[in-house]
Amino acid sequence: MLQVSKALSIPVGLSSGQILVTGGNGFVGSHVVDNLKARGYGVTVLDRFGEPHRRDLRFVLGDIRDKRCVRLLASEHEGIVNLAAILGTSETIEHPHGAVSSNMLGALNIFDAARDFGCRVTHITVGNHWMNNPYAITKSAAERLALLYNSRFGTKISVVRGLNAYGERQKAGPVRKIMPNFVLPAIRNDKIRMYGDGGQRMDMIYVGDLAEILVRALILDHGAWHTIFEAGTGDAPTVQEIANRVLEHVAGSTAEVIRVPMRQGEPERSVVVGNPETLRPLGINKEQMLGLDEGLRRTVAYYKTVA
Amino acid sequence: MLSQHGNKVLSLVRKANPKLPQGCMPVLADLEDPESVAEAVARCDIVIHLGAIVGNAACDADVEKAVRVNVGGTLNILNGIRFHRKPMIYASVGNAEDNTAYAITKVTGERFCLMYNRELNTAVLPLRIFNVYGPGQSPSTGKLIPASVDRAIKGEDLTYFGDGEQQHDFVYVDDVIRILSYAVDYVVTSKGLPSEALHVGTGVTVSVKEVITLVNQLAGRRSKILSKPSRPGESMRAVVADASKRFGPADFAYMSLAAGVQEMMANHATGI
Repeated sequence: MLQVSKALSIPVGLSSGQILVTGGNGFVGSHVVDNLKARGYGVTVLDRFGEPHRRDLRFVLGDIRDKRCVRLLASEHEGIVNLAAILGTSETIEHPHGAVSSNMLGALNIFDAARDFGCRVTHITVGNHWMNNPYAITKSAAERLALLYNSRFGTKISVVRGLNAYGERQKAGPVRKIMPNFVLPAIRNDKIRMYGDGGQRMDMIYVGDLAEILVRALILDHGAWHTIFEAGTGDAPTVQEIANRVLEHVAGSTAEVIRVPMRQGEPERSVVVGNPETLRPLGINKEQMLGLDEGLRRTVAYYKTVA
Repeated sequence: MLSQHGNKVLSLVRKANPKLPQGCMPVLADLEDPESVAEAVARCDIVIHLGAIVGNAACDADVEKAVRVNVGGTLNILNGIRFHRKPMIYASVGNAEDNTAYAITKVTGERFCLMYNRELNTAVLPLRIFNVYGPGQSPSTGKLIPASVDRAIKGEDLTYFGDGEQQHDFVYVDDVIRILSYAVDYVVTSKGLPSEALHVGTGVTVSVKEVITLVNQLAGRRSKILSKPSRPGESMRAVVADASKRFGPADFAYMSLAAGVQEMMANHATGI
């Protein structure tokens, strides 16, 4: 796993101060918060719902679509990790306006604040950026807007495409993510529902590694503000293979894998894989990342405590 | 052209527009207002969606507005044609890869059209229209040809950015209208929709420097030609219609650039 290293060869441009984590109550957000706290930063979480998983931070109930709220908070912070978004591949098809307003207009509020208050930003986008569903469409539009701002205004908005993150605290719903929806039925000896023929390939990244990449992209003077980081391992097992690996890690599971029709917004047998070479400016190579077996061991251990 | 061919044309307007051609009925609506858009869509048989915050200058000046109109407005239209089951032609941009607010928002609208076709059974033909020019185009758009024509006629300096070797596919406005008219027949007779946007352009590139030289020559060579540093976001790639994706009638004869520029100069003289 990537280590929170204080002796990186890349200069740290933001070594202390207050960091705003939007969507900080979410799965990835909670790990980014832990990473920032471990490094000694002050943390504020901005989220529309939920509560932070720890007490040693400030929590603001608010929305990135609220321009005044974003500007007020930006004026008090040196850095922003923008994880707030409307998620979901099939879930957003009937309501694309919501994805546009949060993932594009909300992101613009963050980018404008970065320009006007000089905050550094890490903006997360998606690995399956070319797919035509509202989540991927709006996220890939926002990554282009981020690069436009960097070239026009000299902002330091790092764009990180998060591949398929998994790990402790990921929820099974309302947006269906693969790992909880495979591991929890495996533990409960229930049916594991797999879309299509399971031939889709996805790059599974342990959430702790993703959090480290997001934070390094924020604080380091990496100089890569005109390119995109791809937070993935470069390996892409099929969904069927992932199901098999999950079952190997849940000893004695009698769960059965069943096929269900493909969901909307995702083509069949798609390959969603990141290029970890893009992470070099952050001092990261793929050998340092947590392998799927160790990641699954931790993830299964976590779900056993909550199942 | 559509109204000349006996079609009834409704034009979506935000305010009274005295410049509408005869036979064209205004419908008061705002792309950002879903109800008025849906009502307007219900009144016609086919929608040609050209409404947008157009051009780099206008979109850069207010990126949020560009998102609201070019993306949100397109969603309002898409919801309208989905509900009322009307076919549509969506005008997208040729320079889709350029990282400008205009290109980003127009391509985002185009991707939503493709998604609606695939997931929600709409019938939208997305067309990437390359660099359109022609009489009536205001020099204030900052577009190369109208701005250069205006300056050349006034004998003012002509400017290109970078080395002037940017290659564009310039297509005359009447040619675009004829192809859009063909597109109307195409979607009405439901000949099957492409899985990606098709291209409307000549397939031939001309460099910015060549355009400026031509314009200056046709205006009587009274302007000085200057160069300025390149603008951010502008791609140095050739922006040209791809032969395998060209849309339009077979053997379509495009207007030559020289003839098109001469038309513009003739119209400029008469003040049209």
